[in-house]
Amino acid sequence: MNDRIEETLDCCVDRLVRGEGVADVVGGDADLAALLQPLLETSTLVAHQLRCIQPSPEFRQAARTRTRSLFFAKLARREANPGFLFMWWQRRWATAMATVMVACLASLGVLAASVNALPSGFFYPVKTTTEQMRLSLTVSDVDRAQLQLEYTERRLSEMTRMAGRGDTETVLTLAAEATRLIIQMCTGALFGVDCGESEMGFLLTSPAASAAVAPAVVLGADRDGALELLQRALQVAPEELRPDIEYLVSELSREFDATISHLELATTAP
Amino acid sequence: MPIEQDVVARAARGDADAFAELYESNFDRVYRYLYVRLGNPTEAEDLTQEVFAKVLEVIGTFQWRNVPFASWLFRIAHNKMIDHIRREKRVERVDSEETVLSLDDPDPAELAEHNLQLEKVRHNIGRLSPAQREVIWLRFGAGLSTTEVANALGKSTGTVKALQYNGIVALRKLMEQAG
Repeated sequence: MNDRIEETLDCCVDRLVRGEGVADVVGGDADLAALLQPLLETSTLVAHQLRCIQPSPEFRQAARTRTRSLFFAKLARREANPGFLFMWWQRRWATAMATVMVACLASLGVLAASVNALPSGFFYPVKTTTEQMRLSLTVSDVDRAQLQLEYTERRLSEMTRMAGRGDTETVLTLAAEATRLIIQMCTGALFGVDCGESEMGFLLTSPAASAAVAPAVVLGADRDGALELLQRALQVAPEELRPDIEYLVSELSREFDATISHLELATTAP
Repeated sequence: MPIEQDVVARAARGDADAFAELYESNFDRVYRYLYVRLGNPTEAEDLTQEVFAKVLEVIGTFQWRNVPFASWLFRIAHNKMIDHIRREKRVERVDSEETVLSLDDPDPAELAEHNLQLEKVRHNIGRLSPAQREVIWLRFGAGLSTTEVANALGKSTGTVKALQYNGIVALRKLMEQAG
């Protein structure tokens, strides 16, 4: 008998915690009401009071920012130190695959066609795969950083073009990808910038996060965080990379501002 | 593969969207759990960040084995809280220093009434047995299911249901006595 009461109360608590009222839970069941009504009232009071406790919006945003920084820093560290055996295997594999693929694609003119492809385009996966292969084949840290700078510029340019088409979701994805490339480069062995403890303005640009924060706010935070990282990288950058980083700093501000303007125009347009 | 299992697996592989999904769906309830346990919003905020930093660090070691992700997460939250209490060498606060309630329409009188009620509830829950208290915090504060609570505490679902029932009965009596 006791087991049955505990079981019944448990089912009711499930519904009360989800926000249903005692009347909904009991329905027209007079026996259930007689048996559990006082306990359900207590449960409702507890559930209601505790549900009111919410983190403040400022803390929510600051915590999201910090977690995102930690997430990308961890990802960048992992990608920068994949382990000797994995690197050896990956390089050999990538060399073989790249040779075959480049030969095939070049003969078809696909590589040339993919250079200006946008995320919505048919050849875009060719473009990103080729980039990944070039990155994994590059041994020198300076050459790798140069490629990362070049690919970041591409993502930024694509972001502005997609904003012109009103595709906000792709814009946020491209901003996140540009940010990831910058974090990857800055936290790599060449620069060694530590972004784990900083207060950089990155936000989690997941669909869930974007739903809660306006795209312009997400992009503004990405821009500020990326600029801060690049400024720090600039302080320790080798001479040959400094002009490229300085150029990216100016381009990054320009592309983000243009993208935000596009999105704001789209939302205010009648 | 169940949806949650897939999301956790992707997050462990470094998928930002998957990690963000886990983060967004659990952030408020981790904060709420820590707040009701500690009674101090600043400490709850600090520990919430520590919990997710820990999750990020060890998510690659999470093994499914039919244990829900929330149970694993709240075990981390619980351990962080215990470490914090030991570090601070203090007992859990039954009465909070300050209360932060987020109401849509922050009418001062309504807010004061809510604060008073919340403190009464927290105080009475604090007087339950440790096992009953833990079940009530996890069920009502964190919103975990009975199965998730059972996995988080290493108890059977039957025991959790019994603790929940007895806890609510005791809470009812305490509230009646308090008027």
